[in-house]
Amino acid sequence: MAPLQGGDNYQKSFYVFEELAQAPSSASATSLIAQAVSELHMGRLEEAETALDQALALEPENSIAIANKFVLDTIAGKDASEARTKLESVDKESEILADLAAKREAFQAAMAKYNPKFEP
Amino acid sequence: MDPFSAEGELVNIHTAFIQGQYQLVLSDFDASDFSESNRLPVQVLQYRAQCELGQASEVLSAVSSGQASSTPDLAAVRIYASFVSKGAQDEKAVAEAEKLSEAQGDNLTVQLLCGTILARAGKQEQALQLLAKHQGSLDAVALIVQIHLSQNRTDLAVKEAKGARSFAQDALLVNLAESWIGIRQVCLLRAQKQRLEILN
Repeated sequence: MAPLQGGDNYQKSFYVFEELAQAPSSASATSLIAQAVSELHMGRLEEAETALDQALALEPENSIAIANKFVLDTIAGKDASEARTKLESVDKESEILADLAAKREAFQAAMAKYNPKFEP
Repeated sequence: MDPFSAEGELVNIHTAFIQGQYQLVLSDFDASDFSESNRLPVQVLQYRAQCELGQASEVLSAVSSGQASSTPDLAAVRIYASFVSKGAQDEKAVAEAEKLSEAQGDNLTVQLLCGTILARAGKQEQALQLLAKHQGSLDAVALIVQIHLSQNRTDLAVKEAKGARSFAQDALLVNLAESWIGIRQVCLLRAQKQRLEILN
């Protein structure tokens, strides 16, 4: 991804999260997830995955870590069904699942306005 | 005044809590080692850490309803633990949070925990009204920033964080709040750039 104009604050954000996540005295799943999300925004998928795996090693049932793993697998073009199933079992009210359900519904509603004609 | 400011005895446990080191909050601190006036805040942080670690039912059995009715902080903890264990569908907890925030809206624990419940239940404006009563608490500021971000009001989040920066200088919570905002700003920039590309 191309660097963005006005992204200075963004770099600062990344350094705050990275510092917290990587110093043994302050590391936690929360900070590792924040670092992973920053890496994702910069398109650094491998680094994001490393940080998320570290977060999940600390807290295997952390629903926010699993939700971001779902996002990461999707962006990376991998099979995201494992992360999705896990998220459904840990937190079925998860924001991302609710959002996906709402979008699916909107899509179905839009589709209902058209009459599909399939060529034989 | 913020009870968790850097000069106080609570700084280490509070820092561990806001860094998300919930296990450490439980294992490294003992309420009896703190001065009497700080024991309740320590207990509250430990109960909140338990809730974050998925032990909300333990919190519910540890805090009796008798304790809750005499101490607003513990009442808020009980409602929060119930809400966390049942999720946003817990209408009883939401109603209790509303009631407690009307009766004890000046209590910081009530502001933070009931504010969280209200915001998560979709009552963000009510949560913001409650949190506006805080007296220089960075925890309250951080929660207000999160609520503004959840409403896509980055402008209000920026304003809130700027205000806190002016009285709290280099506090970790202010750094964190600014960092959450920084991530959101880059998302907005990217979306704007994509729109421009499409238009061109």
